[in-house]
Amino acid sequence: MRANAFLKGFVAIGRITVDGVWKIGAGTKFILNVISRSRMTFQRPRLLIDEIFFTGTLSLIIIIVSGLFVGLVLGLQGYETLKRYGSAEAVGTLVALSLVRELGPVVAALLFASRAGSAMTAKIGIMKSTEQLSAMQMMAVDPYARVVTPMFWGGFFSMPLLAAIFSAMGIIGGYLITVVVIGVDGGAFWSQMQANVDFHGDILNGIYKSIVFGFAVNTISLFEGFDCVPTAEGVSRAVTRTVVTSALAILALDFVLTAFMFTGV
Amino acid sequence: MVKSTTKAIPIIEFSSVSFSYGDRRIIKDVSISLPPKKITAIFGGSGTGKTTFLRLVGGQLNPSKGDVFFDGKSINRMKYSDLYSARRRMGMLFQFGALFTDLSVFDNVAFPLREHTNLPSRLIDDLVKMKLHAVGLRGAASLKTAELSGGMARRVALARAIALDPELIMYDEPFTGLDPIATSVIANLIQKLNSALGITSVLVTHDVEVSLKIVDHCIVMAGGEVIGQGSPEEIRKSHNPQIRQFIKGEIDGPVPLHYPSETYEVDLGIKHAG
Repeated sequence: MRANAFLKGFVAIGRITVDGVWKIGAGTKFILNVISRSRMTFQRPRLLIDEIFFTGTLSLIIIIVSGLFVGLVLGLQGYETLKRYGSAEAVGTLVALSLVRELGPVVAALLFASRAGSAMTAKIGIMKSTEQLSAMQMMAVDPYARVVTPMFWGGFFSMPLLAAIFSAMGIIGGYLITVVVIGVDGGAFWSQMQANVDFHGDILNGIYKSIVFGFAVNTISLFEGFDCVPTAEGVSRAVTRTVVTSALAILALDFVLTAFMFTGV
Repeated sequence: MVKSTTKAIPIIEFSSVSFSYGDRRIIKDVSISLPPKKITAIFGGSGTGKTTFLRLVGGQLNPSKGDVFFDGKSINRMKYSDLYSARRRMGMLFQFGALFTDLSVFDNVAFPLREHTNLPSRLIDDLVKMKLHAVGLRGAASLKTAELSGGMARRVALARAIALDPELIMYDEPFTGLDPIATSVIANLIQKLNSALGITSVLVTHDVEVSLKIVDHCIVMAGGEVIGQGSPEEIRKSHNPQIRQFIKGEIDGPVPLHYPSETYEVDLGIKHAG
């Protein structure tokens, strides 16, 4: 009996491992297929613009509001802490560094995965389950080139812009709460920030992070949509997997990138 | 005078084609050819490999054995670019239309024209109106797909399928889920388009009565094999018990009502197995 249970457990581990390896392989093949069919996207900019609107513009509200609130909280918490050490003017630096290095790319990517990533998965999944992708193939139109690749590049270009807007809104939020409401000196707020935030070391590294997160979220979202079981339940499961896998991928990648970029590992 | 011995090449030919999903064999060693410029119906119950048949013709699936020829060339051995060229000569009406839900009726029909031609938009407008007129929906051009009934959606999909003037149209269950009027409209359109455009039409369906009225040739499939073919009259008069059961819609027969299982008594625990 115990041997039987052990065998079942062993089989389950084996199945999970094989499925995992298969998914990594299929996902890699998928993304190479997508990228290799990019010509149409750049020959017909309208396709790209539509997808930037779908993934980027439609995500603006959540990014702006969240960025503002994160900045307000950072400013408040930062001021309360720094005040104890008599360096409340450094709050601008604290807000800006926290946002451009970490919170901007990470939180914007998490929001992007929840808003745009899930929408991409649902759109592709529904197109698959209602045979729209098959219909496209039968019309001699490659669904990768016509639908999936523009979505990938649309999301790819949107992500760093959204992260930048998130950080900018966060800094405005920090300014509003500390300078306008609490009364920290505005000149000190901006000058400390200007003196301590490095364009290459901080801002560019934050942008690189958001590019990597965008690549990961787009790959996961589109692959999950394309690979889903073509039923209502299959699509809903795929959307859930997109959000969960993307969140884990963003956090894991953030750790790796931070280790390389900011600690000199 | 030498009598010509050349035979018209069938537009679709299956040569010893088998297809399996994993261990499950869907199509077993099928060899058939479809007469050009005629309407052929492929009959069979659910799960007999009818839709698989169409997907093999369209190159969306590859046979595990044998060859599917389209106009004399093997679809499953074609290069990617040649396959896409072949598909431009085919049209397909999907079971529920498969219209693009984010586009209007007009844009759905214009889609293949915009993707494959560089025609000026004025000409595309006229062509789309002509195709929609052919299916009686010129007045519905501005509607969203969500505003269409099942029958209208099927007709828009048909207009889209003929947008590039194909040589072959495949219909996947064209009558499923339609009311009697919509069924007659679609049946009438299939017949009219076939004769007006001089194309080859293939229907896969289990709607026997409607189909037998409009088709020229029938192929009956069961268990992935062809169990009979001929004119509608020949199929009606067939003595094959499987074909008779299917045509007459009898509940029990060679295709049993019950899925294979232990006897009823054994399942209820009244008797022991064996």
